[in-house]
Amino acid sequence: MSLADDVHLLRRSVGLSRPRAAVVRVTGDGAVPALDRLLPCDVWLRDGQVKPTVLLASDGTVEADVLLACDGDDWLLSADGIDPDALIALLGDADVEDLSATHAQLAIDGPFAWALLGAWDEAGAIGLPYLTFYQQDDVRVTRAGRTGEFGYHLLVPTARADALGTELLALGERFGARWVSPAALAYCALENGFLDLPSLGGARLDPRELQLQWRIVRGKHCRGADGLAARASSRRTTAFRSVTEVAVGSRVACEGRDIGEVLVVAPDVGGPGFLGLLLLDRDFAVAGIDAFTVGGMPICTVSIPMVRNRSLYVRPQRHTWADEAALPLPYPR
Amino acid sequence: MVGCAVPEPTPSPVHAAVARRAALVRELAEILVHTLRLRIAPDEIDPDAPLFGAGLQLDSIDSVEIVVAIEEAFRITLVDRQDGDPAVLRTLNTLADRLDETRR
Repeated sequence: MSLADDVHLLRRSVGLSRPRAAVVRVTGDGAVPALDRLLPCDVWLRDGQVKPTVLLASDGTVEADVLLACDGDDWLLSADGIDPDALIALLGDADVEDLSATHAQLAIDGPFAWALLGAWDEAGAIGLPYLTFYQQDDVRVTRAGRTGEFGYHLLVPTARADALGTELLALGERFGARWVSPAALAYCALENGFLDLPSLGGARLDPRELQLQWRIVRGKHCRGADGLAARASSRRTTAFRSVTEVAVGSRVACEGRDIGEVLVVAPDVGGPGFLGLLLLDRDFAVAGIDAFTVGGMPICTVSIPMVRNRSLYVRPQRHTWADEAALPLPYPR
Repeated sequence: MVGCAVPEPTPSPVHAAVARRAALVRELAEILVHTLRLRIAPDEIDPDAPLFGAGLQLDSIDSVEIVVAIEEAFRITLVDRQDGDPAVLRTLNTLADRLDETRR
């Protein structure tokens, strides 16, 4: 299947994938102090609550995309962009168990992801609030995702993962569910403004530059805080669309003045043209401007999300798969 | 000549558009912070940060307050009460897009 096929599936129905984040359980009296020293967010969550944050490198740039979950007296830390061993080393003296070594991860994303999950576990899935989790036997189900659609992340004992994947695929047959590629998930993250570090091509950017200030507490003392405070952060990412193809690294101009560069670009799955992210001087980092140029060709800065997610219009309490054809689609069929 | 002030150059249409959009987003951020008594500065709300769900984690009651405050400030109908598009309230930028549309 092509990238476009996978993206259409994620935007129309439901796709399955196998994430590979580092996942650790942090326990004991040292857990909260260790997490508080490490993370730039407040470490105060209700039992069952999940909070998106980031891991900062010593220079204040974003090193990993993180989800922190409170499970009674324990904490689960899921980090995309860092190895489990490196993550464990950062937690110092806290009691840490590497769940990546004993568990596999499955993800279900799409406007009807809740329907597929409900077919597997009706009682638990329906009505699960965003950024919360529950335990179904030995499977942890977290409602979170990076596509802008309904999304669920399953943490499964490794020995059971293949069978569960096969079971979900069978249950999802009537929704057209199948495995989708990491590239399709990265594309959906781009359209919806979710952090996808590999897409940034090694660019080291801080939360202010990435429009992720909501994931940190300004001025909190933690790993990377001093580096962040020392950074000028004079630039900011801004989404764009263009009719003509542009290359990553190309300079962006405003009336002949260099104002930034193209950071990420991809062919638009929803139609002709291209879309992506620019890294612009803050004075110019605004949406709704169609007079900037790249290589002399006009581009248009736009708001995120760059797609009308079907999930905005799906109501699990009212809709079923039988309503699918009547619900709006973000791209032409 | 003594005492003659040099006039400020007139900004180009592009620069004016950039400044106008930046000012609009800033004003919307200030409305949010003031209306909802948020304990953050307006410049801490990124233009593309989600307002609901993750991001600022606003709720449905907050959405009503925001809509009323913005409609009063700009004297427009921001969201149709019958068929309101949920996409309008997603971020400061989507709110700004809607305001730009109503003012064209």
